[in-house]
Amino acid sequence: MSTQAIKILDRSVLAPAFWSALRKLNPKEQLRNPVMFVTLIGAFVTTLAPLIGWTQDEPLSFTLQIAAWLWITVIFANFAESLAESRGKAQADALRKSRAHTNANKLLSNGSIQIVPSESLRKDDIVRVSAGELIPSDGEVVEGAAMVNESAITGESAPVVRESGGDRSSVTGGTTVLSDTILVRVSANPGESLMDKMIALVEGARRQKTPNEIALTILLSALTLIFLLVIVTLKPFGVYSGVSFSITVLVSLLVCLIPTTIGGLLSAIGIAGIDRLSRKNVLAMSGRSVEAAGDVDVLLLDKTGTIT
Amino acid sequence: MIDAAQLASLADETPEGRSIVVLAKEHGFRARSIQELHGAEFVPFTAKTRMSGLDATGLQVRKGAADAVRNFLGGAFPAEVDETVKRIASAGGTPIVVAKDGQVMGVIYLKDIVKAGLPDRFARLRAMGIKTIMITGDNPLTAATIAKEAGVDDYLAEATPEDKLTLIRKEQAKGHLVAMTGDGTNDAPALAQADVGVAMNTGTQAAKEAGNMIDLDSNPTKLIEVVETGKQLLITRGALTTFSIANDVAKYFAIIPAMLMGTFAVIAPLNVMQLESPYSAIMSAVIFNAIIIIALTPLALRGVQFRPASAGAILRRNLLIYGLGGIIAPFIGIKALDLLITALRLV
Repeated sequence: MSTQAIKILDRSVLAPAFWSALRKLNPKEQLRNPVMFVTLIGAFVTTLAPLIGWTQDEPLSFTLQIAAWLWITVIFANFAESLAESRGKAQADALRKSRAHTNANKLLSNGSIQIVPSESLRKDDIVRVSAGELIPSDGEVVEGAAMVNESAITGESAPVVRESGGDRSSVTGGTTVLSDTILVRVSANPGESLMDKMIALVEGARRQKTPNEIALTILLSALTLIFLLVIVTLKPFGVYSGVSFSITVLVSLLVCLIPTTIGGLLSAIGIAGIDRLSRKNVLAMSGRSVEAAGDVDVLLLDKTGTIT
Repeated sequence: MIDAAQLASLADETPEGRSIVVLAKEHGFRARSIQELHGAEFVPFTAKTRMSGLDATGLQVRKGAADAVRNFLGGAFPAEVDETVKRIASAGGTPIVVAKDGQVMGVIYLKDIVKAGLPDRFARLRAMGIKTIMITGDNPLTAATIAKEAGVDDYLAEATPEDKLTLIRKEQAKGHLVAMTGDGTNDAPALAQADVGVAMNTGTQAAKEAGNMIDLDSNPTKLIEVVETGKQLLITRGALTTFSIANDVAKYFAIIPAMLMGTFAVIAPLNVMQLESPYSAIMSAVIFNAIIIIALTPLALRGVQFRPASAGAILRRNLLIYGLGGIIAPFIGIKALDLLITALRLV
């Protein structure tokens, strides 16, 4: 993976992140995050309040300013998430570019070679790759040995030896053979190769909440629900004691009390964690494994290569 | 002897094998290419046999761990060799026994050099409450010496892939979470069993499928960084959660008095921040609530600064910074916003 640092405050990243933040205002998207969903409803209600006369005698400019800031709260949270994702998106685009359409020399069962598009290769097909050619898909070298340039995925330009048998037999789709000819048994169907996985991962397309994130979301949702009940009951209490709270004030109190800071940043933190690992050239197959790494308390280290 | 050692090591791609070929070269023995020795059959080194060699007509050489060679030779193992092996092992070296045509030719003393900076790193891991276990195919004496030199907490000597798996299961049964790296096919079961299994990209397909992370640089030392990044993620999340909830205190003191002051004058002392008007108080709190998200975004993306310390120390430090900070910061922020709103006559 190209490890060029993509700065947080890069203009080329900020503008797309901003538009993506606006697109994320879609309530369906917000439903994944109960805290921000409540804030979004609050913003909506406050915006409509002046139209239906729920603002009592408070100045219109106050209601509208509060409404604006509530929208901004949700947008800021979306923006943080988009920003976390955008670094991965830039990497994914770079990866996609390196994966141009290629042909592969498929070895047929009668021993002849047929040129096929690499997208048509299936698991267990055998392909022949010669010097100067791209390896069409992930696989295992079954015959021969070759020097391979893997800089497309590792960023390391020094060639490596890949040979049949032993522990250095695996090759990655998208890397280039520099010398000799090898026969490779394809080990991944289209869409399942390491390159595809990397693109999906850095884009966050397959990102699911980790167990810890789910637990924290439940806790935050419970807090939100409790505060929601408190605020709703404030209204009748107020009426009883002769104070009339406007909807704007009640929504403001609610949004301030529910944990919007962590609610808004939770998914950005998770995405950024995977991103930090991928910039160290480590590819985590799930957010869950990154979290598990944080909880690890026993490390098994091989002496050879690690310690000596 | 050097000739035999070199021949036996040609098919051994492990660092030990390569060291021996290099050593032979330093003694004037040019490395012969595999093609030169046609008719010869190589016996490659595997983690299970812990021995490599070459069979040719009228020639049979082997080199490897002492007990592996002893088993291979059967009876012909002089006590003298045993002694030398023990001496090398207790000095922290790796004894490699070389045998030719059923006869022990001699013992090579390979010395492992612990990578610079590792003892410090292990000390830091220990401070975080992480136990490090060194896995090696060496005999227990050698393993103990290297383990002491490197500063790891424990070691598993003469380890086979099955031993690794058993060790992981044992640690997990004690309630520990285990991380490991691996690249060979025989590492796959252990990689799958470990909670964090980092497969080397150069490794076999089986290893890559069994692990839940792949290191594209294939650098096993990186496991330590992986664990640190994971810790940093958890600490960042914990810190921001603490901050977020601690924020409530100040916001409560800003909004509640503002809501009730008009009706109940007695609540006025609760307006500790002396906010200008109910409207500006509520607006300050809402604005603070919004901008704190964007202000903390860089921290969320970069992760909080990570210093190795025990879980307890990290918790105390975070409670102090993000808990106490989370209580104090909004008092200052809301008061400042209130002054600004009043000055700009926004309400």
